[in-house]
Amino acid sequence: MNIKMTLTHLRHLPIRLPILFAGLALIVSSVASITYASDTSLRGRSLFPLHQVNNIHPGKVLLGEALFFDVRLSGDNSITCASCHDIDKGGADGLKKAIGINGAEGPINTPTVFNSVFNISQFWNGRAATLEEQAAGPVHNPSEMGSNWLDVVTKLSQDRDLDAQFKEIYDDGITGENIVNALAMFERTLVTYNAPFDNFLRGDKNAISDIAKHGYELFESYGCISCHQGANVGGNMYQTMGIMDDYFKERGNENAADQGRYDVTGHERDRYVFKVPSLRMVVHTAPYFHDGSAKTLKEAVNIMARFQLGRDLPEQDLIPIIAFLESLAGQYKRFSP
Amino acid sequence: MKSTFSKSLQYVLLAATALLMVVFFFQTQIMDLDRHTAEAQDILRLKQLDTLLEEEALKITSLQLNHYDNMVGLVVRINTLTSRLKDPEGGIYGNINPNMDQLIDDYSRLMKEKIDFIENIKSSMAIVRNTLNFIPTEIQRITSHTHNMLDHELHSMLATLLSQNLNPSPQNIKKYYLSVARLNALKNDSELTVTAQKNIERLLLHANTNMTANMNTITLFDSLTELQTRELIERIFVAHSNFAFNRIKTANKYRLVLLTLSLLLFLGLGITLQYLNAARNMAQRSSQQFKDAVESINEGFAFFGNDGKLQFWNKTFEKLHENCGENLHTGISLESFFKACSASGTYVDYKTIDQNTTQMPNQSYTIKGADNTWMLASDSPMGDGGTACVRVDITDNKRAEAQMRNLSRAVEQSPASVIITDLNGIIEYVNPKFTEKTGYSAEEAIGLKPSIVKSGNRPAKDYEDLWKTILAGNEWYGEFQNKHKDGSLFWEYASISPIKNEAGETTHYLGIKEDITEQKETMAELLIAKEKAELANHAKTQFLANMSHELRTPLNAIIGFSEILKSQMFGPLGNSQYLGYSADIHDSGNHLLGVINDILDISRIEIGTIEIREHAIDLHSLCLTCITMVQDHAEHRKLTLNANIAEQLPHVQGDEIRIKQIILNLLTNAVKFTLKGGQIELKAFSNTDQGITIQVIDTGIGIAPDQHDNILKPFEQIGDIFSREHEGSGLGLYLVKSFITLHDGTFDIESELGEGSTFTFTLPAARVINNA
Repeated sequence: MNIKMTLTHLRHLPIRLPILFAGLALIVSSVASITYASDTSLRGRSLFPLHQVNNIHPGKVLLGEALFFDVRLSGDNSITCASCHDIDKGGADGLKKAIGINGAEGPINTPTVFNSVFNISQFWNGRAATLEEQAAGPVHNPSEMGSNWLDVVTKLSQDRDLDAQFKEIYDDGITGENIVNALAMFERTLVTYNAPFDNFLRGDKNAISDIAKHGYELFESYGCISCHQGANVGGNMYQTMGIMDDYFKERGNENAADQGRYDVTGHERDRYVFKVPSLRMVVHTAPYFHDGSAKTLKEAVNIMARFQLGRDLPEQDLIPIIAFLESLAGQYKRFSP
Repeated sequence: MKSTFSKSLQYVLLAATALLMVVFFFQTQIMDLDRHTAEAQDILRLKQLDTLLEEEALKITSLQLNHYDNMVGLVVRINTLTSRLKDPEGGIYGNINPNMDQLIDDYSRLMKEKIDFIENIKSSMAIVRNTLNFIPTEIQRITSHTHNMLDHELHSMLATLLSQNLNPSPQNIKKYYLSVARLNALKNDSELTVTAQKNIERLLLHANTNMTANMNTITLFDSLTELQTRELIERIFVAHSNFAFNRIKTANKYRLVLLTLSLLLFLGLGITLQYLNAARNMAQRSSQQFKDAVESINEGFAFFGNDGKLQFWNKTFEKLHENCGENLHTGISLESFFKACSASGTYVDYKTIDQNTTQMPNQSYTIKGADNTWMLASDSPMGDGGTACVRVDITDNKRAEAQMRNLSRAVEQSPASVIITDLNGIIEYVNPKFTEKTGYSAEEAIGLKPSIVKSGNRPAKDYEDLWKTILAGNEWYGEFQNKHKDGSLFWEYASISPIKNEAGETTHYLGIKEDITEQKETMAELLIAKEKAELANHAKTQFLANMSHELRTPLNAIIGFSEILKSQMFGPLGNSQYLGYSADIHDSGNHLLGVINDILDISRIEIGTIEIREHAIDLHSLCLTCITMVQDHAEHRKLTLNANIAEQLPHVQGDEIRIKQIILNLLTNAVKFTLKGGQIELKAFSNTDQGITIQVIDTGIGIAPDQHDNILKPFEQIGDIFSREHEGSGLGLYLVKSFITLHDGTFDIESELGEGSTFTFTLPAARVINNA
C-alpha cells in the first residue's frame, strides 16, 4: 500500500461526504417525485408533471448562461451555443439541419436544449451520457463550433472579469472541464414548468381543453404513449425509426446520421434506433425527426402513426392530438438566484 | 569516555521511530472506516440498484410500461456509481490488486451490456404493448361487420378486458361493463342452447372475477405505494450516515491531533538529544582544549592525581625531564619522581620541600640541574587533592642575568662617564667615572638633572639642538664644557641617545661622556701654529709679487741700454770686447726678465689674481710659430724638430698668450733636456672626445715615474746629474699645469728615465669652435 494513494484519500476526505449526501438526497427526491396525488391510478399512468430539478448552483448557472451566449466558444468567434439552441425558438434553430461556423451544414437536426436534463442521454443517438459530455461535442465539431479547449481557454483567460468569476467558483479557474460544468448547470435550469397539461395532471380539470383531453385519450389509445412517456413525454428510452414499415427506404438517401445507436453500441439490433425525443416543446421545434424531414407537426404525427404504429390516423383525430401536444409546453423562466 | 549510544545511532533511531509513527498513521488511514463504509455503501447500492433495475425490467416484460423514468434514474445512478468505482482516485480501482480491477472491469462491461439489453427490451415492449393493444380492438372492429352479434360482443368484451389489464382506465371499465351488460342480454337469446348459455355465464364469471381482482390489485397497489417505507429507510440511512460520518470526522481530527502531538514530541526529543549531544561535545571539546592548551604552553606541566600518582604531563615537561627517561611514566608517585630526577641529575640542587604534597606551600622555587640548567618550579595542591606541577626552564634567564652582570660591570668600570636619565632628564644612574670626573657621588646625582655639571659657557642653542635630536629618537654628539663640583672646568665629548623598548618607545636617555680637555688644548695650539704659517706664506707671495715688479723696472733699463750698446747705435764701441759684454748683458737681462715673469705668474696664481683673456685662437699657426721660435735653439743643439699639425685643426677659445706659453715651455724643456742628435716632435690633433690633443714628444733624458709629481711643483727641477747643466727657474711645468687647469684641460706625462718623454695636454670640446 503506498503512501501516495493514502494522501490522495486524505485530500478527498472533505469532498467525498457532500457527494454522498448529494447522492442520498437524489434518492429521496426521486422517490418523492413518483408519489403524488392523482385521479387516475398510478398503475395505469405513463405521463407525469415535470419535477423540480435540485442541486442548482447559482454561480455556476450564471456563469454557464454567460458562456452559453459567448461567441469565444467558437473557432472564429462567430456563433454561440444559442445560435442553434435559440431560447426563443423552443431551444432549437428551426432549421432542417444545424448550421455551424463558416455556414457549414451539420449532419442532423438540432434537438431542443429545453428539458434536456430529463433525457436518458444526449444527442439523437444518445452518445453522451451527461449534459457535460454533450457540451464538449459541438465545441469540437469542425462543422459546428469548430474549436478546442486550448483555444477557448486561452481566449477566455484574457477576459479578466470572466477569469475572476471562474476563480471565485472553481479552484483551478478556467478549464474545459469547468466550462462544460457551468454550461450543464445552466442547462439544468432550462426547464419548461407549469405546462397546462401538468396542471391538469395535478388536478386542475380545466387546465386543458376538452379537445386536448380527447387528444390525450387518443395519444394513449393509439399507443403513442408507449414510447413518449414519463415526465418528459419521451426522452427516457430508445426506439427504432420505422417499426411497421421501412422509413429509410421510403425516404431514400440513407446516410451516416441514420445509423442511430448502432454507432454507439455497435449492436446490429441498434441500427436505426434513436432516442425517443421529448414532446414537451414539440409544437415549437419544427421541423421534426433527426433528419428534419417533417416540416409540420401534422406531417410528423402522420409519419409516426404510419411507421411506428402501423396505422392511418383519421383526419379528425389529428386536431385533438395536436391540441394535446400543445398543452405539453410549459414556460421557461430565466433563473434568478 | 566514549558513549555506546553514539550520535548517529540516536538520529537513526529517532528517524526510524518518527517514520514508524507516520507509517502507523497512514496504515490507520488506510483502514479508514469512513472510507470503507462509503465504498461498501457504493457497492451495496450498486447491487441494490441492479436488483431494482431487474425488477423494473421484469415489470415491463409484464407490460407495465409506465416506469421508464424510474429506470432512467436507476441507470443514471448505476452509471454514476460504476464510474466512481472505476475512478482510480476512488480508492478501489487500481489500488487494491489486479484481480479487483478485473472484477470491476468485468462488472462495468456486463452492466453496460445489461443496460443495452434493457433499453432494447424497453423498445420491444413498447411495440408489444401497442400491438397487443391494437389486435383485440382491430378484431372487434373487423367482427363488427359480421351478423353474429354474440361473436361481436364477445370480442368487444375481450378487447376491453385486455385493454383494462394492459392500460387500466375508467373508460375501459365503463366499456367493459357495457359489453358485459350487452352479453347478458344476448345470452338470453332463445336461439342459444342451454349449454351455450351456461358457457357464456361461466365466461362472464371469469371475466368479472378478473376485473374485480384487477381493480382490487390497482387499489391495493395504490395503497401500498402510499406506504413510504423506502423514504423512511432512506431517512434512517441518512441520519445514521450523518451520525457515523460526524463521529469518524471527529475521530480523524483527534487522530491528526494525536499524530501532530506525537511528531512534536519526537521533535522535542530530537532537540533534547541535540542539546545533550552539544553539551557532551562541548565537554569533550573543553577537555581537549584544556589538553591542547597545556600542550601548547612553554611551561612544563604535570598533574598528579589525588592518589598521588602521575596522571598527565605535557611535551615541555617531558623534554625538561628527558634525563629521567622511563621514570616519567603514568602512575609514578610524586616522591619517586623527585628521587628519580635527583638520581638522573635533572634536579641537582633544589630547596628541600616537604614531600607531603598536600602540606606543600603554594609557592615557586628554583631547581638547579646538571649542565648548569635551571628550572623555576611550583607544585600546587589542587582542590580535589591532586598536585599540579609546573616547571619553567629559566636556564636562559640565568645566563642572561650573568650577561647583564658583565654588562653592568663594563658600565661601572667604563673610562667614560655614563649617565642614564628618565624621560624628564632626572638621573637614575651614574657610573663611578662620573663621580670621579664631576665629584658628585651616585647618591648625590640620582634624582637631580645633568645640568648640575653645566658650566654655563655653552650657548643655550646647543642644548635646544640636543633635545630636539633626542626627542626625535636620534643620537646626538657634541662637546660640553662642564664644571666639577669644586668649580673647575673641563671639556667632555658627549653622546646622548634615547634608550628604546621593544615597542620602539623611548624610555630613558643614555649619556656617555669622554674627557677631552687635553685634546682641546693641543688642538688650540695647532690652530695657532697653522694660522701663523698661512700668514707667512701669504706675505711671501705678496713679497714676491712686489719684488718681481720692483726687479723688472731696472731690468728694462739694463736690457734697453745693452741693446743700444750692442747695436752701436751711437757709433762703434772702442773695443770689440765691449760688444761681447754688451751682448752678454742683454742675454742675461732677458733671461732674468723671463724668470721674473714666471715668478710673477706664480705669485698671481697663488694669490688668485691671474685671469685668462678669452678669444679665438688659430692653433695651427700658433704651433708653427712656436716651432719657429725654438728652431734656432734646436739647430744649435743639433736636434731634429718635427711638427705634425693636423691640417683641419679647428680654432679654440682661450688665452693665446698662455697657450703659446704652454707650448713654448714644453718645447723649450724638450730642447733643454734632449741630448745632441735627438728628436723632438710637436703633434696637434682632434681627439676622440671632440677636444684637441697637443703632444710634445722627445727622445730626451726622461723622468723617473716617482719624479712625475715633483716636477709639477714650483721650484722643482730634475736635479743631481744635470742640475748645474740646465738653466731655468724650475717654475715652467708648474705654470704649464696651472694654465692648462685654467683652460679646463688635462695634463699628462709619460716618461721613463732615459726613454724620452711625452707631454700631453688637451683642451676640452667646450673650447673648440666649430666652424660648421
